[in-house]
Amino acid sequence: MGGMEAHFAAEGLGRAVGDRVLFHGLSFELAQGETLAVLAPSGSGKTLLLRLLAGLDPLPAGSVRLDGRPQEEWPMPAWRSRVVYCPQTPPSLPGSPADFAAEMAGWAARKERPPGDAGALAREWGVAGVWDEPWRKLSGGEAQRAALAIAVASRPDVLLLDEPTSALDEAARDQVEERLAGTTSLWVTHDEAQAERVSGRRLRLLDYRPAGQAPPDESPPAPSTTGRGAADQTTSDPAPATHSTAEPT
Amino acid sequence: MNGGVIEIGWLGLAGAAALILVNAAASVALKLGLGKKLAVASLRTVVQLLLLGYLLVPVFELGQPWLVAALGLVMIAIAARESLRRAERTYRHAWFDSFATLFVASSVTAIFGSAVLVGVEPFWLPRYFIPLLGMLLGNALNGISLGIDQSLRELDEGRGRIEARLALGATWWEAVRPAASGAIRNGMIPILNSMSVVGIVSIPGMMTGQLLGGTSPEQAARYQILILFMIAATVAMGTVGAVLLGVRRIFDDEHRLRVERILEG
Repeated sequence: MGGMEAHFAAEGLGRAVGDRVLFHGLSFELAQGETLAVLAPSGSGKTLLLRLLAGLDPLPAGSVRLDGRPQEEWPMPAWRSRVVYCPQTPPSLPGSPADFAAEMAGWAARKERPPGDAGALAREWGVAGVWDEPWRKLSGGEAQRAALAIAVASRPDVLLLDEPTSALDEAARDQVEERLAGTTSLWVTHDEAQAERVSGRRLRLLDYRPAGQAPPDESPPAPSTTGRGAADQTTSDPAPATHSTAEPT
Repeated sequence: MNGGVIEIGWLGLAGAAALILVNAAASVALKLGLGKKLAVASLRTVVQLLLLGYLLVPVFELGQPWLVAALGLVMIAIAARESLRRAERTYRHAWFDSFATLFVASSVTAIFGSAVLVGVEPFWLPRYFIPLLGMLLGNALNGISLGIDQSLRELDEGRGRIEARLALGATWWEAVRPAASGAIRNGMIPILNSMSVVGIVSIPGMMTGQLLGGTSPEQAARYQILILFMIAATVAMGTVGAVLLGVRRIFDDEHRLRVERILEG
């Protein structure tokens, strides 16, 4: 509400795996420079939520907007160069973090939005020593910081962070939290104390899970978008019918 | 044209079948459990090749272009099916993609080779065209098989690597290129290997056949060189085409990797 259009906004998001609704009717708004802490235990669908926002999975319900423009109106690579998802565990890529940063600078969507100096950020975070080492030789914490440095340095409008400090010790964690203060981000964590430190606002993912299991004929259609062998489904109904029963408790 | 080949009678074939008893003996002695497989494979060899021999008689004798085309299409269809048979993973329309790729790759090379390189007139003359096409298909299907198998495996098991790129703004092609080029390389390695050792380790089947048929060794060698280069080109076209068509189908139009489109082979 209010006079200012939100920088990044989601409305009526929902997601189910098979018949199981993980969350539905989820909405939020994010102003420029604001961090929203998403409190989500594992298994709550946090990764699936971030994948929707990043455009890695089709939206089964609801909409996501950046600067008022819905996701489906953006060329997807351009959207993803602005709304950057950083997975909890970076994959084991071939080559080194430096190689990956260089590869990325050559992508078409990056012509408009050239990435900044991830190496410098890595130095700041104390992982300069492994910047030119193969990813598979990096420890969990080093890989997490290297991947995070690449994502942050890419100058996104919005960062989608999935437990970004889960593999870090306290000192490294504080460094990362300090550096990320003031970036527009969705910060998924299961740690109340961290949510307190990084943001004044909370979104509890479990609040958007239908209370109890709704009778089958009333439960919203559950478009499955994951799982091998599942049919391709991109269509879906809009807001779930049981929306009103899922107010935050 | 040739100096007369010594004909093989039925008795000769029966004698050759006796050689398979060596395999049978090995299977029994070492308990390999290959008895049934061996019997089926031997029987298929005999039936398929004899049938082919008889089938080729009218095609060769009638000399009708449409008969050559029909046989060619059947061969391509079978090769397309074979190219997918041993793969662990597949996807919808894989057969169609493989057929289209094999069709383009093998007919381009076979027609060019026959009409221009060898100078056969007309270019579809079955005695040249059919064996040529067969050799091209036999090799191209291996390349496609290896290429598709590896690229689908990488999309499935290496999903994180591809999505890490997508998540930072890569297009589907930018994200999949490292995986696709690895798979294409994998598909082309066998033919490159056999090109390196040909004549040193092995005398290839076609050259052996020509030598037995009375062709001079020098001419047989030239034919073999020609056919190897044709095979290499066909394998390259087929593998590149099949891998690109295949990986494209696992992405949707919004550059999303849809692993659920990868099916059990």
